[in-house]
Amino acid sequence: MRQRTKAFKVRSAALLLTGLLAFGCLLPIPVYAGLETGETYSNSFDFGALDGAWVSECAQVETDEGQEPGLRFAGASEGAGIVTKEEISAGKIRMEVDVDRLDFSSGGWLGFLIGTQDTDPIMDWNHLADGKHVMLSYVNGIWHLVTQTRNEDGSYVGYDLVDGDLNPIQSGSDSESRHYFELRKLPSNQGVLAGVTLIVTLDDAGSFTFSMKQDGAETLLAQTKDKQLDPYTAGRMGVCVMQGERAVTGKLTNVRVFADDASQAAAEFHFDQSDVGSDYLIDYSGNTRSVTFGALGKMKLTATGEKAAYAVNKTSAQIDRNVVGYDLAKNITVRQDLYLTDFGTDAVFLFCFGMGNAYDTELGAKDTYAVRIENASGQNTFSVVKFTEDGGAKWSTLMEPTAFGEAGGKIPLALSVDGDGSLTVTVGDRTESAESPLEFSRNKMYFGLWLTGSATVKIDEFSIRNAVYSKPENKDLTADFTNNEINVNEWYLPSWGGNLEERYDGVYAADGELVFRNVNTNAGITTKAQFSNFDLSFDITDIQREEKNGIGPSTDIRIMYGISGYNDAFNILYYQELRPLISFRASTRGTVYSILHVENEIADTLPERYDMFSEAAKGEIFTVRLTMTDGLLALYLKTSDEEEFTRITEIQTAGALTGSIRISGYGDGVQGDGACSNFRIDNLSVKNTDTDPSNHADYGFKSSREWIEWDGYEYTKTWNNGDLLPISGRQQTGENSALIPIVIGAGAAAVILVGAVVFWSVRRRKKSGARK
Amino acid sequence: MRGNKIRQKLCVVLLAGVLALSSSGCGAAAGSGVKKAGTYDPLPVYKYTFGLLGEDEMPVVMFGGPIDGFIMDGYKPETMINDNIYRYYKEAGVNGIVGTANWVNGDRLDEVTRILNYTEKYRINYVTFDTSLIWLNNADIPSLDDENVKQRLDFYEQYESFAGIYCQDEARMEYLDELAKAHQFVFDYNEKNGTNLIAYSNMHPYWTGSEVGYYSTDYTNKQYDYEMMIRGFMDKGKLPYLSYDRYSLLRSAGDDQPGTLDQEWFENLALIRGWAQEYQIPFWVCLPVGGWGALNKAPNEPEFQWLVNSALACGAKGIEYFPGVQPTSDDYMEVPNGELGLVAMDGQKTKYYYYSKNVTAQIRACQKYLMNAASVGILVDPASSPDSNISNDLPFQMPDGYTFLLDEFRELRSVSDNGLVGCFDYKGRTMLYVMNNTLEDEVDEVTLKFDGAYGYSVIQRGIVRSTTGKTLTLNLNGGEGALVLLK
Repeated sequence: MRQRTKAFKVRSAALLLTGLLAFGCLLPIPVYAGLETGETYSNSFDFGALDGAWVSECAQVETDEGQEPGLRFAGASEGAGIVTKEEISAGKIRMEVDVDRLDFSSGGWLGFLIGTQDTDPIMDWNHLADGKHVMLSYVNGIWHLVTQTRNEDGSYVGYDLVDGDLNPIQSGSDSESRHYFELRKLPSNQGVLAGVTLIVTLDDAGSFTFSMKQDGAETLLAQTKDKQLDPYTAGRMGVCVMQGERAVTGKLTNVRVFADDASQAAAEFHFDQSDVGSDYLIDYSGNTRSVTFGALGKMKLTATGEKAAYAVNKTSAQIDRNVVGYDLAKNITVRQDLYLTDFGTDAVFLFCFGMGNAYDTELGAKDTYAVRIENASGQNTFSVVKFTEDGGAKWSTLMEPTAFGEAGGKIPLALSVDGDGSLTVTVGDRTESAESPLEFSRNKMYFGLWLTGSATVKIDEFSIRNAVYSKPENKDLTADFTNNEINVNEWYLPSWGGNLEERYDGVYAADGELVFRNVNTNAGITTKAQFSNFDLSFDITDIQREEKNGIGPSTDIRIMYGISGYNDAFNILYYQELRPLISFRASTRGTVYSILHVENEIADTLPERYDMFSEAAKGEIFTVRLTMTDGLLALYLKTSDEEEFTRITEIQTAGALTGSIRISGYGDGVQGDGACSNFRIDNLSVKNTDTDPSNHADYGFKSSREWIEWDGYEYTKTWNNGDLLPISGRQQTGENSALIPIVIGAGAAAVILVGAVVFWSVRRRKKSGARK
Repeated sequence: MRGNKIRQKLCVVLLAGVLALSSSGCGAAAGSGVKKAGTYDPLPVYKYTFGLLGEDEMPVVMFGGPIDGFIMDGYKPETMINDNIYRYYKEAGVNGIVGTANWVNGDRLDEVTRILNYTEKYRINYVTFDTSLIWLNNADIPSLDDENVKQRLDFYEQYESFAGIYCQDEARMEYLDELAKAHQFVFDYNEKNGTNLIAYSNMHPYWTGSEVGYYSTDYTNKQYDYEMMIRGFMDKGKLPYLSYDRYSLLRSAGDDQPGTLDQEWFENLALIRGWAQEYQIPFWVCLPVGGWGALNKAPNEPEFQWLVNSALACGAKGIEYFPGVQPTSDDYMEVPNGELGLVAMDGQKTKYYYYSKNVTAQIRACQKYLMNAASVGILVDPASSPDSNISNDLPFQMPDGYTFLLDEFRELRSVSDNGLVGCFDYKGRTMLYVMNNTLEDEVDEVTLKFDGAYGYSVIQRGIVRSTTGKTLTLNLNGGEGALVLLK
């Protein structure tokens, strides 16, 4: 606890209270609890078969006309890619990658993995630095091949590649440039590769080539000359991408791997299959949508007059009666694009909801509902019905038939049900709401598609979103670091994350505050409990604003929330999942700005009085307050002289995200670029602001100092000396036991003993004889 | 008078008996047919001790000792340096520490002073990592005439336990010229001052395939292989011992599950042993004291015994432990307190304190023999093979006539039942270091067969016993070793 006078504390509390009231923060507890708006199912139907989420008949996935199967990268970031499942033995390996299109116009990398041994994680920056993998990158208007391996000190070294005419192509002589090789014969095309096959070869002597093939002509772009790459040894082959400024998008149509100049491929990737795990291993890099396969397509339902077609989705949605009236999301929302391909007057398409069982494939179970689309009078209409008997033959109409228009054949069909049963349906250009709430017999429902008559319809972009309250059990937490103690039952502080050169570095309590000393991104303090809606506050009591011992001014002070595991290290997924990452950061000396990350970086300069990184701010205490209310994130700041908080920014996010809350540093430490964080915080608190919060947990107290008070290892093994040889001779233990003297001594002692007995016996016998 | 004659005769008989038993071994158990073991031309022995160590005292040296400051769970105690830790080291049989305080925390004499006060108290050799003297990566090797160097060495000379200077761990080819100067710095100091400080440098192990790039600071540099690395190190560095580290015990499941060996443990021992023989110096082996990272398994007691005793059986004349205490860098700090090092960061005994105490009791009881014996090779029960890659077929040039794996040795014909036998010449006599060649926690009856019946003195668990026979059966725990001297 930072030392303050009692009067100061009272005054601070009063000011804080005034400030909070002024901002309405202590006015009635927020109306809503932690609304989480999660997508529970989505499918674009781009494989040749329906996935296992459907129970269906007369339904299939059909590839769109003109589409070719392939591997598509969409929003792929760090290391998303694919390798062969099996290791491939060869004296020389050749991999051909057919690129339909890859967009590196905003930077990015295509990594060629050659003989990798690893499967988990498959693609990793570190793997690309071990001496035989190469990367393609577009820099300053020129394609480059990057070969790299790390020196002991972490710097990179290159391989001195030459072009097909043996001319040097190294982009420069400095340590950074010398592992970049210019591929001037690869068409620039503003960083977009299209319709080209990229070919790498590597043999067991480390001889390497990189070529392109376009329109049947193969051109050698780069090769080793004097310095060979690491030799090829049996391993997996594949490719991966890494993002530059933006995530990578593109499509590969095939990858073939050949061993020892064989004409038959040892491995060929089949991107038209849905069971992608059978031939190769995939790294989605945490985002399953970043790597997809197959060809663009749709689900097709074909009904004949005698037989209906149907597809029931096995994903359920939960009715949460607390999710009512949000602008952000309805309790349940299902969207799809409908194409009425062959839809005559006898055709009826039913989008059924409120179903109690995904395997109940009889149309129209009693008390379930449907959006009914038909063309009875030559005009497409939709209505909403409730089945009143099993079998679908009888129903009541909740929403009368409404004609709708369509644009380009695609008919958006959306249904939303709120927690109170209110229903809204959008079909084509019309949106209608039911007059009275629907009643559902169960809290869980399934969705199905039915088609009757002689008709064909297609479905695309089907998704189910299910917004629910999240009210994790927790308790309001405070940490004031009194006695330099922390309750480690409530807070997690990793021992790692400090700068590796200085073992004093890390996050620790000292002087009644929490010190972040020379820490990188992974060092921080994190709530072990999870929160949905919360009110976080803490004081920034000091920031290193100047260079000390070769370490520059502090980098960021970061706040994260919604961390699914409190001990999860930071990774780039945090950005991808659209969680704002709040950073206080010095841009240049004297200028300060806070940055809120929402997918792409947004930067706002802080008001001058909160220029916390400036020299003028030295000695000032800044109180940070961050609130999350059902997706509305608000950041406030206050100096110690201010009575009220100032709202710095407010942002509507996609919804609350239940998880742990973390304050951390940022940087790589001196082993990276030297960037690391140096600051102190105090008076940390997190309040649960959910409606009727479940803040009843009791974690108990375990001091951060307690771990050190164990009693040592309890050694219980007993060595059975019955294992030893039977005693023969005199036993001796201890250091430098003298084997020979013992033996001699033992032998001599025995002889002397025997002799003495004999001698004594003789004397006794003689004496006895004398007596005789 | 007649009684006197009888007594005189008996004295003659007694004397003859003593002599007979002295020459033939243990008389009490010596039945008929027990032969006197052979005597041979003694083979040359290479040993090295330093600092406070006695001539026959085997070094048991710990790399990395307590330092000031570390952080765990947000708690940052001021120091690990306290009396208990050094007392426990002593009890665990450690007689040397390669300290890292100066390396980790910068050039702070107060920290080193507190350490030296404890090493002085417990008579443990302290090898200092002193960046103001030798810091290969960052500074030139200074002159002994440099006033600052003199002052620093004067400081150290106050302490009898000051036993050496760290020069380099796992050097690479590019360091060797500078490393030679570092070693010479220590050699010159010894010559000038009549001291016996060690210039401490440790060498890489060999990994299959590691001949490409690994021994250079430039990983793409493929011109060096392991033999070039070692020979360069020996030719230039001229150390009187050859130390290397190898962590062959791999984690197949959790640390509570049996480990596996990487099948390169004995290959490394064979290579280092061969080169050490060629350069006529002893070799030391550095062993893991705990597990870290994804691969290195924390040894249990049979595995720990196995690592130490297999090194001794192959002729190691020094044992090193890494780490002495949990290092305070990121990856090691992920290991829970108390699982790494002989002593935990907070000064409590870890399991390795007990393991070391047990194994060094055996070392201390045997060291007079081990330090004065020449390794001839090993015999192995082929069925016992946590590491089955034991061969005379080695990937690099060994000295002429070099042998490692033997079919038989002098009087010894075979070993069975999981046995592995280190074969030694001890001053012209046959000495064996027998171990149970399994990582399992089990007791096996390891049986040695000889070409005749002999007398044997056995040291096991620091206890000396003797027996006779044409076969010798020892009950040994997993990894346990026993020294046998034929009589």
